[in-house]
Amino acid sequence: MPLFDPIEKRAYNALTREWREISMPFDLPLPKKLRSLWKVKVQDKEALYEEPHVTIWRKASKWRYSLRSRAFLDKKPDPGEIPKEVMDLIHENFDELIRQWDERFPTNRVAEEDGDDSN
Amino acid sequence: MTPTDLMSNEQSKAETAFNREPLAARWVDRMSDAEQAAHSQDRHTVWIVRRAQLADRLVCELEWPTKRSGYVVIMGSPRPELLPALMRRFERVAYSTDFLPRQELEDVLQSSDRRERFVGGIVDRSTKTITLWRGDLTPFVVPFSAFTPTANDIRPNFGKFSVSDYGHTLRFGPYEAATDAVLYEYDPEFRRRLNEKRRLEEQTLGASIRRLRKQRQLTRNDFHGVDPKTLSRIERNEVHKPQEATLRIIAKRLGVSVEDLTSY
Repeated sequence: MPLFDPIEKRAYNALTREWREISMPFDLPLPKKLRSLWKVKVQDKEALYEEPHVTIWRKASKWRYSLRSRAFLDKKPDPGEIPKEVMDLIHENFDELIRQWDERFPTNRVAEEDGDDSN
Repeated sequence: MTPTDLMSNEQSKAETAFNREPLAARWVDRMSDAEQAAHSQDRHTVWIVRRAQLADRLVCELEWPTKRSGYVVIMGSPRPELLPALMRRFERVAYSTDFLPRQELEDVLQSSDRRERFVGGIVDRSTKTITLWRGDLTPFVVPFSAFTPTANDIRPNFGKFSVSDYGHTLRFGPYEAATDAVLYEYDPEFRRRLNEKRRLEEQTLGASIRRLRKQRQLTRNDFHGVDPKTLSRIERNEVHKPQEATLRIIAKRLGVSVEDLTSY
C-alpha cells in the first residue's frame, strides 16, 4: 500500500515546493496515517553541543538522529520503535533536512568534520 | 564524612527518590473539589485549579495552623494576596495562563524525568524574563536573550508563548526551542547529569570548550586574542596546559568563569 494517496501526494509535493519559503521550526510533512502520532523536526534553538540532528517525536518520546553520521544520538528510547516509513521519509528528504539545519546553525554545519580548523 | 554530611546525603537520596515517584493530577473544577484540596494531606497529589476564583475558595477552606503537603497549579492569574497562604499550605505553587494541554500535563507530572520538562510559564516583558515551571513545579527563570534568532532570521515572538511536545518544546510564535538546549545553558545540575552520562564518553576541558562554543554559535575566529589554530588545538586537547590568560579570554567570550569551563 503506498504511503501517500494521490491527493495527499499532491499536497505533499506542494508543501515540499514551499519549503524554501517556510521559515519556522522545520516540520517534515508526514502522511496522514503517520502524522497523528509522529513528528520530525529541526527546531530553532537546538542542543548544539550535540552533532547536527533531527528530532523524531512520538508523544512524550523523542529520538535524536544525527544528520552527520546517520546514527541515533541516544540509546533510549529504542530506535527500533520508529516505523520504517518514518525513517524512509527522513532518508528521502535528507538533503532538505541538512539544508534546514545548516541555514539555522551555520557555525555547526552538517558537513563540518570534528577538529576542522575552519570554524 | 561527618554525621551531618551523612544525614544530608540520606535526605538528598530520599528527596531524589521522592522526586521520581509519579505525581497524581486531581482537577479542581467545582467548589467541592476546592474544599477537598484544602483538606487533603496527600504528598503526591497535584491539585490543578482550573479557574483563579476556585483558588479563593480553596484558601477560605484551609484550617490554620496548616501542614504543608502536596502541590497546587492555578490555571490563570491568582490574586497576589492568595499566594502566601497557598505557599504556606502546599509544597509548591505554580500559576500561569499558559500550561500544557490536560493529557500532556498529566503525562509530565507522572514521569520520572519531569524535572527536565516544562509544563508552563509566564512571560514578563518588563523584565524581559520568562519564568518556566518545570514538571516538578519548581520555577526556572531565563532571560529573553536565551532565545536568539536563527542565522536565517527566525525570531521568537514573546507575545505568543506556549509549551508543547509533552514539555520538551518551548514555542514563541513561529520559533521553537528544544528544552534541553535551554537547560544546558542555564541549569548547572542538568549539565552535571549530562556529564555523568558522558563519563565514559568525552569529558575534557577541550571538549567542554568546543561544546559551549557550538552552543553559543561562535566560530573559532570570534575569540579575539586567541589564534583560531591554538583554540583548535586546545579543543582537541593537544595543549597540555593552556595559558591562564588564554583560558580567561576564552571563558570571557563564552560568558562563563574559567572555573566553570569544564562543566559544559
